[in-house]
Amino acid sequence: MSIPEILQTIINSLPMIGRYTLVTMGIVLIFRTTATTNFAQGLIATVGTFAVTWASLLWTDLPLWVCLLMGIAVSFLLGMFVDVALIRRARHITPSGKQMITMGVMMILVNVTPVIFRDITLWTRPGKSFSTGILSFPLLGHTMNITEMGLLGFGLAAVVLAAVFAALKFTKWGLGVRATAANESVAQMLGVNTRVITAFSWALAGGLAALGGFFTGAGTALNVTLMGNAQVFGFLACVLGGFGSFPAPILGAVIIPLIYNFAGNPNLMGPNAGMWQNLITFVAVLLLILIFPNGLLGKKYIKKV
Amino acid sequence: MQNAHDSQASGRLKSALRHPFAGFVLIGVLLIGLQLTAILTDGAWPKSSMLNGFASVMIYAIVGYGFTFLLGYAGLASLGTAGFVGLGAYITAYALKNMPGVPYVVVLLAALLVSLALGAIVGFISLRIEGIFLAIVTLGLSEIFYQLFNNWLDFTNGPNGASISKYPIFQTLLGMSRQDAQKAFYILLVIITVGLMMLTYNLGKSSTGRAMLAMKNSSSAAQAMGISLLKYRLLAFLLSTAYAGLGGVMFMSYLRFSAPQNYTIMFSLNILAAVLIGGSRNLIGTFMGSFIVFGITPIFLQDIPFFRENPWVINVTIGLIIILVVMFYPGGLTQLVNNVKASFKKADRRLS
Repeated sequence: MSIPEILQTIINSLPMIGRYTLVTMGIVLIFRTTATTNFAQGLIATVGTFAVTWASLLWTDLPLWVCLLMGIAVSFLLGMFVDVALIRRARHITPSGKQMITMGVMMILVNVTPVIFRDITLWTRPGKSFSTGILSFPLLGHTMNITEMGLLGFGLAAVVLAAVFAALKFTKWGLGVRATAANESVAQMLGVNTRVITAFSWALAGGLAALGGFFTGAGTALNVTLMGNAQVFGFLACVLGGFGSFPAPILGAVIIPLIYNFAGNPNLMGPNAGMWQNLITFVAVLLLILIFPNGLLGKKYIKKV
Repeated sequence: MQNAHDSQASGRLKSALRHPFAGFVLIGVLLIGLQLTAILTDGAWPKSSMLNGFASVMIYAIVGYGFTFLLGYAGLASLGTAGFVGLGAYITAYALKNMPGVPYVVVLLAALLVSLALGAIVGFISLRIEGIFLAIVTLGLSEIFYQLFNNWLDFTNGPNGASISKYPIFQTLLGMSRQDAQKAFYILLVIITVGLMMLTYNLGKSSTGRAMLAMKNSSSAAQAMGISLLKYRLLAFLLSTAYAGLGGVMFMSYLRFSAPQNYTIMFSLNILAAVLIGGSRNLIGTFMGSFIVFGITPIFLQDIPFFRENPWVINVTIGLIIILVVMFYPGGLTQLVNNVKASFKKADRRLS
């Protein structure tokens, strides 16, 4: 591979990095505040994505960004609902029990979504994305291409994630989240309203994922497995980076799209690269996890008895 | 004298009924009885679609029994089940189609061995990480299997699916007609199912099962008592893999068709649901759970137009049941039966 090709492959990974980091951030927020590995994250995002398309194509003539906000609101409320209705009431249940609850939610959403949005399943959004153009720009003396939509997705993800990290660091809510993550019952004793904190974390996770879903759904046919890869890779990113802190999984969510795009490069992996791209990425990530079982940035997890 | 003899016999009958295997045998007898009724009534009742429904319940129950080791004994949730079932199925299809000279038993053993070998590799990877992350890693694993099934055209025939034309043993070796071979294979399936119930029950009551239970309740305490976490987690994983592989072989042999879409994450979730609903460790419960998750649709609901047109209703119900069981009724059907029994006893005592 030549240098411009390597650069271009990295540039090609940016949109995916944007989408996956958004989904991953949601997974970590939920894991840290409620000790739940949320298997419904991808589907909560999918519902929001369907809602955006439904609103923009069938319901209203409002500009797309208003519809996007509506879709994010749908996922926001759905995430909050899952926490308030189920996870909050399951606090005494083991983490694997909570995990199974989210699997149940996933099973419900996977079957209900295509029924609710029966009219728009398999629709694309023709003429309803922000832009279909391709942007060319020079980098280190080479010309690089990126779709404007992809760049927008990456840029928006970067801004939103920076805002979330700033909020975690500087706001009262962020302090509450970190306190809850450290020890929920102690946080409660110290006057943190953990109910509000967890509900808002779930809601925010839903909203972030819906934003990622919007960019995943731009230009592809909508179906209920839209966020399947994002969900699985988001989880693996968390394990790969290490579940123990907020930034580590984001590192994982940056690495995985890079592996994915290099694995899919026909000059590097042969003409059938596209066919085996997913497989190679999964194998590579699992091998990395095998080498770093506590995550790239993770500390050894010691359980107190 | 006669009376004493009678009471002795009835006592023996009672103790036989109380034997833990009695329920397993009863299920087997009922399942074979269905097939015999079909033969006697010349296929009027139960219809062959109903029998096929029960056959698939048995196949899924076999996979479920393996899963009880992971979920019920070791307390681990895995989402890789579908991959191993698919592996067993595709190895069977490939071998029966391309190597006609190889006996069925060898194919079966080969499928089991490959499943076990891969299961061991995956087990080692999975066991290096914390219990609740196992589901995540095995989720990635099942994606790998899915990609393989979909793309390795020479081995799996890709998205078009693999099929075999004849029922193994009965049709190929004994030269039975297709209908007879299907009936015979059904009975073989019943025998395998009941046999595996007994084997699983005994393993669960053995020191292995107890060690796994100790590990589930507190891994640290189990370690302190000298139980090797790695050994028993790996064993639980391997056992569930072997059962899944066997389930795959049976899937291919009886249903004679499999496509990659059969082995998505929904399959693994359904198995998880079946075991959870049954009560995690109770084998009759697991069978009933498989019946609820996999059997009700093909056996009963297929004839009701509403459910035929809205297949999602039953899946949503299963999702709801998973949530309800985990949140409010962790014992599943087993707990339900025990509660009903207890309330009967209470009523009995009040009357007397």
